[in-house]
Amino acid sequence: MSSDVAHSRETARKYGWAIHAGSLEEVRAKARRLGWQEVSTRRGDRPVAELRPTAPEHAHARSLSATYGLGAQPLHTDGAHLLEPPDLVVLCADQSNGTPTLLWSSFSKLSNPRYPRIGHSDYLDNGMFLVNGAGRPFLAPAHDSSMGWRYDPGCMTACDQRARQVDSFFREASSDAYRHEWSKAGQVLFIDNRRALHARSAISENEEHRLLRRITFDTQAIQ
Amino acid sequence: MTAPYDERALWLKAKLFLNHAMDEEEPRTFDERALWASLALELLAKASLARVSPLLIASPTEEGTNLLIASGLVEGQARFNSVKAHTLYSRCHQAFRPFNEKEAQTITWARNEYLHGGSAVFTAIPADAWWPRYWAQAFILVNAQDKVLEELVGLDRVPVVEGHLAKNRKNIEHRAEMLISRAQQRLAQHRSGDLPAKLANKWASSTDLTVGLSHRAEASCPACGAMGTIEGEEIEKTEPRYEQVAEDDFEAWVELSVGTDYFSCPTCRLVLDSWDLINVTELPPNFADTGDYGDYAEPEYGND
Repeated sequence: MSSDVAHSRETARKYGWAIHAGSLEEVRAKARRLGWQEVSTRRGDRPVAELRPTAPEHAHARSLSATYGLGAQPLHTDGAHLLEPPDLVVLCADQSNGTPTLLWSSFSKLSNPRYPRIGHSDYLDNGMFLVNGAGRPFLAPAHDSSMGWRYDPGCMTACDQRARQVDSFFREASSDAYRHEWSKAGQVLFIDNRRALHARSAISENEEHRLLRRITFDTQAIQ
Repeated sequence: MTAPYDERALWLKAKLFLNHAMDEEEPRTFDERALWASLALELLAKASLARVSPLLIASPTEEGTNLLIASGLVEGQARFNSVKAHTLYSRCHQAFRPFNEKEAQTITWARNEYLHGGSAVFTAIPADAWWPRYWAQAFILVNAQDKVLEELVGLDRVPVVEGHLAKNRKNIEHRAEMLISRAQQRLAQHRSGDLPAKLANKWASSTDLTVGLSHRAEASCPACGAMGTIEGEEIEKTEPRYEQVAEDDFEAWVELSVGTDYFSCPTCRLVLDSWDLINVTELPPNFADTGDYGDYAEPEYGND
């Protein structure tokens, strides 16, 4: 765990995610100095989002909550519907809670026991999805060697046999995912959105008031 | 928002259509697979040209809307129309040798007939003969984009495609051998007076089999050894030359290297009508010719 924002970013880039010691406000301030660009994943939304468990009937029509409600979410990339998804997601829990966040990355031993072997099947690079959710729909694979991962069954529809294999792969990968427990107040989690997928577990009992704050960045904006 | 002429969007759509053509678990007939593949071929041609310039795939109109969209001068919801398949293939033929526009156009005609006509099958050509010919053209368009097969079909399907490409090379070799051997046989029949009457008439009327391409040279016939004609249109290389013919007078010309596209022999009547066929014989893949200095641009200036 580091309190240096740039170091936590580098750790996330290397292993998929990093636990950071600090506050969201401090991360935002340092990010500004580093030239990272705050981006929102839905037009009109603020870059800092408050994530609360939401039943389908109260959820935004185009959201994971609309489909999964308080149940477990699938592993996904934030902003997968954007042509250029943000490359860093920062989650912060001001209060501890009992609903873990699942993390999966082929670059982490915690979710890929074969690491440093990171080879993966052809269907991950070649299965095609229709991505729908921000203007004109477009086609994309779940993995691209130059961009990294893009996957979210909430806005990506499998178009072929290989893409359907990708859906199965990530359904199964959920069980191997690392469970990050929000057991302490004030935890900050850096997720490299191109190297790792994440998901919220099913909301535990009496956790309806769980609150995470999320901010998404384009950290390569000025590079 | 992705533009309709975006080369990456065109490439990804070609990938999707080839997945439809090659997905093994899908219960698709050869005809349906060939249909998807033919659609992918057109997208690959578009992506190859759009990569150079989106203007190359924009359909020209009086008001120029498509050209304006492709050049980025008009945005928004204006509808973008691209050029027709035969124009695409003609441009690819000129830009990405040895892309064969006739082969590609045959695939598109079959597709149109299957889609719009009453034809119940995509083609009369059996699948194991169709795929090698298909991949011979698609492969050229992959190379034209400085990509490799793996990027198009994924590593697991590369051996399938390479099998088709190897078979295509074999097919071309067999076809060239067959044409050469038939020419030898015909010449022997002619010399012995055994040519059937119909063929003998044709033989007598077809001494000049050249097709009038811009450049030509003589070459030894691979069937009978007599002198035949190689012809070509595409200039592969130019080299300016000068010679002083008087104190103040120079003669200038350009030496050309021309790709061989056609061979014909007036003795045995052998005709090899494509680069593919010529390339598997002993005929030269290119030949020298000269051109007027004024017809060819000077080499580019450089600060070296």
